[in-house]
Amino acid sequence: MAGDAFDFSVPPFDRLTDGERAKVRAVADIAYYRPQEKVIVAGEPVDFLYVVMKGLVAERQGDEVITVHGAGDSFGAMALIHGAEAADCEAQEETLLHLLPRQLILDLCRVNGRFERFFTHSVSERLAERANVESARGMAAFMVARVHEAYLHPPITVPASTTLRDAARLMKHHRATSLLVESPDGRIGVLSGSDLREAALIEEKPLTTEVGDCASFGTIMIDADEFLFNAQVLMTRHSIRRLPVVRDGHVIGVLELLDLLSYMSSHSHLVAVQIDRAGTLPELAQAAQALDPLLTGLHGSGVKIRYIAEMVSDLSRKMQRRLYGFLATPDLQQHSCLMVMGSEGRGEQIAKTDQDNALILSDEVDPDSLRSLCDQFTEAMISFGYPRCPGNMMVSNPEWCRTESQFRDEIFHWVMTPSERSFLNLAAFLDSEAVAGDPLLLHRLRAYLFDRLTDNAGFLANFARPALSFDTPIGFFHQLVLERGERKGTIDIKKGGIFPVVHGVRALALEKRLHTRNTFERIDGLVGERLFDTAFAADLTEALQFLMEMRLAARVQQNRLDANGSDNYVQAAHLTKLQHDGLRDSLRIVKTFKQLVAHHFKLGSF
Amino acid sequence: MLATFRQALARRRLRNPDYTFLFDPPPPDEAVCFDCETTGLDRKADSIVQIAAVRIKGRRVLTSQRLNLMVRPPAGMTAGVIKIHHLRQQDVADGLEPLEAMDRFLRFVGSRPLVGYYLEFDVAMVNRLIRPWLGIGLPQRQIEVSSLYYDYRTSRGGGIYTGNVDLRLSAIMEDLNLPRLKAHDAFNDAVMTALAYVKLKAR
Repeated sequence: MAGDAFDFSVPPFDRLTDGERAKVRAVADIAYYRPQEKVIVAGEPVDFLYVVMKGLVAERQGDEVITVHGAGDSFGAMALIHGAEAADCEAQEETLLHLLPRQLILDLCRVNGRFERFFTHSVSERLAERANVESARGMAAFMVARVHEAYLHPPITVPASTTLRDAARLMKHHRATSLLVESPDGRIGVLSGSDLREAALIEEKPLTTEVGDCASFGTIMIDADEFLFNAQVLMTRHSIRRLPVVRDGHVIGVLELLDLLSYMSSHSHLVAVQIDRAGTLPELAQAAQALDPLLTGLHGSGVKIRYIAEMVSDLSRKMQRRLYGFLATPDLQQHSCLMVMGSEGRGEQIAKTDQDNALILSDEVDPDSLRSLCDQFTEAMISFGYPRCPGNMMVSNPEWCRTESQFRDEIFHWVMTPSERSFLNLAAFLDSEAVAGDPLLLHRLRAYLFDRLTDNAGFLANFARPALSFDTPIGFFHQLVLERGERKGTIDIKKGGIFPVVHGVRALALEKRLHTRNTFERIDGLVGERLFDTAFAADLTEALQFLMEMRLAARVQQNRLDANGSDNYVQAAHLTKLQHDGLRDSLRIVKTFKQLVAHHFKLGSF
Repeated sequence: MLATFRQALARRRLRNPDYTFLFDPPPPDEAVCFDCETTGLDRKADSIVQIAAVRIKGRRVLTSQRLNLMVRPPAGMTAGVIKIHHLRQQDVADGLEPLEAMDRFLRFVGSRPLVGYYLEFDVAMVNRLIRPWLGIGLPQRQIEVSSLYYDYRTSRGGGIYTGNVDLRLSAIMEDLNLPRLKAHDAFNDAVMTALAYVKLKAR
C-alpha cells in the first residue's frame, strides 16, 4: 500500500522482505502518548517492540536519561528479545508509536538473520552507551564472554532408572536445581525441580517412578566455547532455564539462566553462589578471586557506588562467615562473635581493604586457646587478597581477640583516657558489625559503649575534632588546592574529603545515638534528627559518592584493587572538565559540612 | 433517554434477527473509525467504491484489526473520481457485491460507537444500502471528529476563540501535529481520523 503508515526505510525494517513487511503491516498497532506518559515502566514485562512514528521518547534509569528515541527509532528490544530488565521509557512530547507484538519480532529474528543481527549488535551499542562508552567493561565483557567463563553448575548425572525420590534427595544434597539423566541409549536429558514437582505433585506419579519417564530428552545443548549471549538467545527462544554445556562431546556442566543473567548484570550473584558452595579453603580462595573482576565490571556500569560498596562488603562478610565456619567448631561459634570494623563494618568497602576484624568470646572461653585458629584466619584472609591491617586491628592480634568482659574493660579505659589510639579504637568499634557467631556479644558491648559516651559532651567534642584536622583542598576562590612536595600536583581526596565526612557523620550519629553504621544511612538518620535539612543531606550524600567513585576509578585505572593508599591521590592534570567540576563541588560541600561540625561541637575558630 | 428510545425503536424495526448483535452493549473503551470512498458527493445518486474501518481501543489505534474492502459500484465511475482516489474501473471490478461488503462491515463494527470525519455523509451512504435490506440505518452511537476538534479549538484560550476554525482534515492533522498519510485512500483516512480522535479524547 502506498503512503504506508509504517516506514520501512529505517533499519532494521529495511532488511525485511516484501512478505515480512506484509506481516509487520498486518499486526502493527499505533498508540498515542501524551507528554510525560510512561510507555514502559521499569521492571514490568514488555510485550511490544516500539517504533517511534512521531515524537520523542526518553529512556531513563532513575533520574538519568540514558538515551532518547526519535522518529524511526525502535526501543524495547533488549527486554523483548533478551529478557533484560526494561528501563523506564517516557514520552517527552506528544508521541505516536507503532507497536509490534513480541511474537512477530521473535519470528522475524528467527527467519531473517540480518534483522536479528541488528538487535544483537545494537544491544552492545546500547549497553556501551549506558555504561558511558569507555567504561562499559562489565557489559562489554559479557558480550565477548564465552559459556565456560560463566558459573557452570557441576553436572550431576544419574541413570534413567533412578527413582524420583532418590533424585530429589540427590538434588537437595548437592543443592542442585537440576540433574542430568542418562538414558540407556546414551542420550542426555534434563530433570529440573519443576519437572519433579510436576511429576510428583501434579501428575501424582509414585515416588518410585523412574526419572527417565519425567526428564526432558532431546535437550538443546551448547558448546563451552560458544558466546554467552548465544546461550541466552537459545534459552529465550526455547523458553528454557538451563542448558547442559558440552565440550568434546561430554557434558561438563549446566548453565542456568539465573547465573547467566547475573553474569550479565554484575557477576555478583555468581560470587555469592561460589562462596556459598565452597567446601574447602582453596575453593573459597577461588571465589575471592572473582571479587576483583566484579569490581572492575561494576565500575562505570551506572550502578551507584553506594550500592557497589554495600554489595562488596556483603560478599566479603559472607566470605569471612564461611571461613570462620571452616575454622571454628559449632560450639565455639555459639560462644564467640566475629566482627568486622572500619569501612567493611560500615558497608563502604570498594576494594579488598585492610583487614579490620576482631573476635569477641564468651567469658568462659580462654582467648589464648584460640591463638592458632586466629592466626589461620588472618593468614587465610591474606591469601584471599586482604592485606594486613597496618594498625594490627586483626583477630591474630591478642588485643582484638578477647572475652566480652575484657572488651568491656577496654572500652571503659578508652573512654576515660582519651588518646589518639583510644579514639581510633572507639571509631572502629562504632562501625563494627557482627559477621559470624553470636551477634548478641557485640550488641551488648555496643550498648555499653553508647551508654558511656552519649552524655559526655566534652568527650564528644574531642572525638569529633579529627574531622577538622586535615585541610580540605579547596581554596578561598573555590579552586582546587594541589599537594606540594612528594605528591606534587595531586589532591588527597581521602584526608581532605572522605575522612572528614565519614568521621564527622560518625560523631554526630554517636551523639544522636544512631545505631546505624553506614555513613549514608547515618546521614539519612541525622536528617530525622533535624541536624541537616534534606537538601544538604542530599548534597553531602552526592559529594561522598562522587569522592568514593573517584577513588574506585583511581584503583581501577592503576589496576590495583588491593588498597595500598595510592588511590587516595588524584592527579589533577588527569581530570576531565566534568571530573574537575565535580570534585570542586564535592569538596565545597565537604568544607561546608566541616563548618557545621565545628559549630555543632563548638570546636572554636576554624 | 432519547437515544435509548431510538435504539429500542430501531431494534423493533430490524428485519433480520441475525443482526441483533448491533444492539449488544458495546465493549468498553472501544470504537470503530471508518471512511468510504465514493463515486461522487451526491448521497442519492453516487455509490461506495471502497469502505475501510479500523478499531480503536483506549489510546491504541488497532491497525492490526482493520477492514479494507473494495466495492463494485453499480454504475460506471466518472473520470474525475478516478483522479481523486486513483481507483480505476479495473481496481473495483474485483470488488465485493455491495451487500456482502455491508455484511462484513456490520460484523466488524458490532455495537461499537462509530467515529469519523464528516461521518454524516459516510453513514448516509451506508444507510442507503442497508436500510432497504435490514429496515434500519446504522444504530450505533456516532462521534464526529471535526466537532470534537471544533470544541477543542474553541475551548482553547478560555472559550473566547472567535475566529473561524479550519475543519479540513489536512488542517486538523497539521494543527494536532499528527502525521499525514497519503490522503484519499479510505484506510489511511480512517487511520488519520482515528489518530485525531485518540488524541482529542486524551485531552
